[in-house]
Amino acid sequence: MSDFALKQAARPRGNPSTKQGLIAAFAVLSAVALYFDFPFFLSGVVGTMIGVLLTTIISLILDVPFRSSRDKTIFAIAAAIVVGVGLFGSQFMEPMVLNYVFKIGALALMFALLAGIAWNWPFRNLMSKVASLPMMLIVLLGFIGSTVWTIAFSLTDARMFPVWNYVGFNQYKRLMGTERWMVSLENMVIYAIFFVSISFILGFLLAVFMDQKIRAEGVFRTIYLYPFALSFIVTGHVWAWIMNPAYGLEHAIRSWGWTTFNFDWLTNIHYSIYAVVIAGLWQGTGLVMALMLAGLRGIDDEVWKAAKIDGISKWRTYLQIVLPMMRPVLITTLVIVASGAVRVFDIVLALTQGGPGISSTVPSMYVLEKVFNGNLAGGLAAATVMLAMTSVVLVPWVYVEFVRGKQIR
Amino acid sequence: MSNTSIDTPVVPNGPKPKRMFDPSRIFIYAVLIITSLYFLLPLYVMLITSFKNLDEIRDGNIFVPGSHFSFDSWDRAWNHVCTGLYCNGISPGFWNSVKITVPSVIVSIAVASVSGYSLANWPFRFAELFFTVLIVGSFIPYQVMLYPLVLLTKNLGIFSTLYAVILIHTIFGLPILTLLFRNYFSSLPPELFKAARVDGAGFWRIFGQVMVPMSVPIFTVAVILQVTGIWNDYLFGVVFAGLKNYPMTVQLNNIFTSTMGVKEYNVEMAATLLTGLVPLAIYFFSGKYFVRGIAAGAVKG
Repeated sequence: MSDFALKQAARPRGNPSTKQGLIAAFAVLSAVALYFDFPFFLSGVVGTMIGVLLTTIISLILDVPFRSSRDKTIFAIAAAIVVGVGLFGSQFMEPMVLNYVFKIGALALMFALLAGIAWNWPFRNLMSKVASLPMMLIVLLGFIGSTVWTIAFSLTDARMFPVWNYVGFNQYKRLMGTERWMVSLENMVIYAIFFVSISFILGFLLAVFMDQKIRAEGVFRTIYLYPFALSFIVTGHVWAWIMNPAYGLEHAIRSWGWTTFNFDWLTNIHYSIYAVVIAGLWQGTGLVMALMLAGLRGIDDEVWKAAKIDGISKWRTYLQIVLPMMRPVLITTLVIVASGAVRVFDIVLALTQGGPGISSTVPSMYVLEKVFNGNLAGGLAAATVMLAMTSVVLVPWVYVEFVRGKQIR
Repeated sequence: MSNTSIDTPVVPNGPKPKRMFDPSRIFIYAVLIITSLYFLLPLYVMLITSFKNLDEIRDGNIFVPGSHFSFDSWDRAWNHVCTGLYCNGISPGFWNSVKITVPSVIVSIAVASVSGYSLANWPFRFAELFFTVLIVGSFIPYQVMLYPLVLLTKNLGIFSTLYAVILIHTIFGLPILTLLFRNYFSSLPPELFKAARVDGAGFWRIFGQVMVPMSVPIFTVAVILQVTGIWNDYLFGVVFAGLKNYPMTVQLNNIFTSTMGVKEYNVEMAATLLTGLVPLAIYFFSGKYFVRGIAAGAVKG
């Protein structure tokens, strides 16, 4: 793939410098025109299309940045599609969509030519890049673009529509003075602390018990993990029924004779968030158990033998040798579970609807409510705070996993 | 462990057999069984409640089954219960969920398998960077990206249609699926890929004729992961699908919020159980693959 002969064979023939310069100039010109909607000699799509068309035809005739006839064919087809969209797109697309599709397509063409001249890399391993195009677009527009957009517009005073009017950190200051937001933030922290710690302890204990060469391990695992296959909406409604103050658990236990038994967490403003924790644990502990069990099984048998020879008891081996060795699994599980706790949403919606009152609202509910009900920038600021909360666990993890030379394996 | 064959002398081999009623074993089983009961309880309550009638629910105990057995509430939940504006049961929601799930699963797996293959076998410059951003991005709360994506789908003219939900599920399914496929393709012996290259096969030919036929297990894992994930989704369905296409989870939630007059707990539980039935069935029939799917993100290698 990377040998010198191939590179040499792929070098453009003829006098490269003038041809490359010519095409680069055309490509830059049409890209600039495209980007700024600058009228070439006609405005809008028609004008830029002529620029793209000219650049493409010249580069195809001069055969410049292409490494093989196959690359040339692919480029010609791509160019034909983009020009075709420019010419006939208005027949079957809305003007807005046409504008996007055409601009992105044409810019990509020009970029390919320029980068081909500059580093010769767009046409190396071309098919892989074409195939990864959806992934790259999703990363750029979906993940990076959306996040940056949200952070940017949280610094405005947009209400119904995203209008750019910079007001600095006003939205954040207002947020800190909103009781509803502070309650939801507090709830999220309570939920995260209880959910993460209890599911970790319970999950680890269950995994250790499951690791004792027990009978019917598959049956137990199936039972512990099935709630994880159910949606949060289903989980929430089941537990709402079990904890129903009139006909649920309280009623049942009182009817069995313990008449002073009290369990009104769903309707008690001090405990409603803990009701969510109970339902969440039912749904998520199985996952933690499964991940921990996989981690335990990944420990080398030699470790166990060595510990046994040294006369270390089973429980000390688990706590002082095996647990530290499982650190990668523990960290990844923590990131998964904690980031899930930050975005907790459906289960609260189904279980308590944020009530009674606002006693169990969570940030994700707050964001949705504000964003779609005329306080756009406030909602986006709240979303940015959620992002910051996630970063608390995410950034150290990214640093350890990716920056310090390791990759995802 | 026990590889005793005919010609080896018969000597005690392996650890001493444990007594049947070793106290520590009893403790272990007791803990496991009691926790199992806690995990099974809601399923049991759902089932018996859905078979009771309303009088039995009001007078009886939530944990005690009713005296008679009828599918009336299941029929009402499927065909007649009110889900917001309409009162034709949760069955339209079921079919909407099917309409959302099937194309979303196909599109997201197609995109992710090709991306994973590119990353594993044909890495290009910045490929790892894109992948890293993708994985990190999967932990960002959905609420952060929700509104810009609403704008994007509005500008594309597909907001409140099936296309929008399919797009969104493809976007948010991509990280875990790409990770899954990339790891799997990397674990295949590189000689196969090299041999196909030497034989003159190109990018797509190797994918279609070498990689995909060897990857049936991982495609199964991906399908299970996506079907359960998309079926259970609420947020994207309620925001992007539009009133006509509300999936089953949204309609289920509407049953609870739009009840007027007498609350029919048995019908509600039947509808809840119906909504959970598809992922439960998938889970019980394919437990091994399901576990592999959820473990894929956390346990590497």
